[in-house]
Amino acid sequence: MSLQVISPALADAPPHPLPPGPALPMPLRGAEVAPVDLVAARNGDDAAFARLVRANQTRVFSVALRLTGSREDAEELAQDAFVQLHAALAQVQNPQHLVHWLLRTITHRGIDRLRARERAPRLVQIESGNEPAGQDAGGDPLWEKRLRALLLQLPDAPRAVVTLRFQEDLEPTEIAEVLDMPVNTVKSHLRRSLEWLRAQQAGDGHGY
Amino acid sequence: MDIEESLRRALRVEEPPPDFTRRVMAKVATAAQARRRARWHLPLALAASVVLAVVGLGIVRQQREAQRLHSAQQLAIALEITSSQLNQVQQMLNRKQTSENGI
Repeated sequence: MSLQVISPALADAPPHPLPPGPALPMPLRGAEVAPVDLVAARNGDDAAFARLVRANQTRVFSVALRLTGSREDAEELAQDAFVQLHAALAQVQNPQHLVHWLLRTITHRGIDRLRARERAPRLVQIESGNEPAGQDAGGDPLWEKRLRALLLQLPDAPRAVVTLRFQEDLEPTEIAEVLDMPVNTVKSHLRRSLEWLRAQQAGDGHGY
Repeated sequence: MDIEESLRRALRVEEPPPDFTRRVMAKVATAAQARRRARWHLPLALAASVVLAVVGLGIVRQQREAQRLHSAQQLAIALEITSSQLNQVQQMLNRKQTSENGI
């Protein structure tokens, strides 16, 4: 383990808009929210809202964790996303829209947190890059650990794209909708990120 | 192993802390309470502004009326003094003319 300073990569980039506006519901996988719970939560049923939280907390927390690299930040961001959801329940049309809304919110909040962190660099604990590169990565826990550390070295937008692609298994069109980004930009971020990660795997340590 | 498969394995979802839902619900309750309070703040502030405006306007009107009355009284006194002085002058002139005619 080592301490590294998060570099100010996109400090002058404009912040993402919050809260996310109404978006087209997408056929997202894993929308496990019962429509009846959504209706009940909208009508003020706290137990139903707690079920909505439990059904989505793992994915929301995990996206935040991959973006921030910190369990504390991820927990705070995920909690705030659900608080925001509670205030915006009237706008949520159906369970698919709810998942889409949550992914949008947590991704934008995560990116905003990264940008705020870039404006005020601080020491964060990330996994070290000392594991040998160029090894056979077949199901190797060390390589997976290194991949997670490498992900945290990507700039915010590609990091979000890779997280949504490989953690949430979203298609580039879905990622484009979640991130308000042209599909070609999503594909370009994916291609460049994968190229960079392959180069790291091969032991070519150039920057992203 | 393919980098994409490695990424899928590396980026498996992770569980939040066990009391996550309870903490969210606590924050939701606090935020809802704040929203309820904020819902009353605006109408109360508006009502207070209206009352203050009406009272202020009344005070200004009262002050202007008092000032108008005061000015009118001052004018009346001034006119009274002027009239009295003019009478005195008139009497003096009359006396002077009478004494001249008497000679």
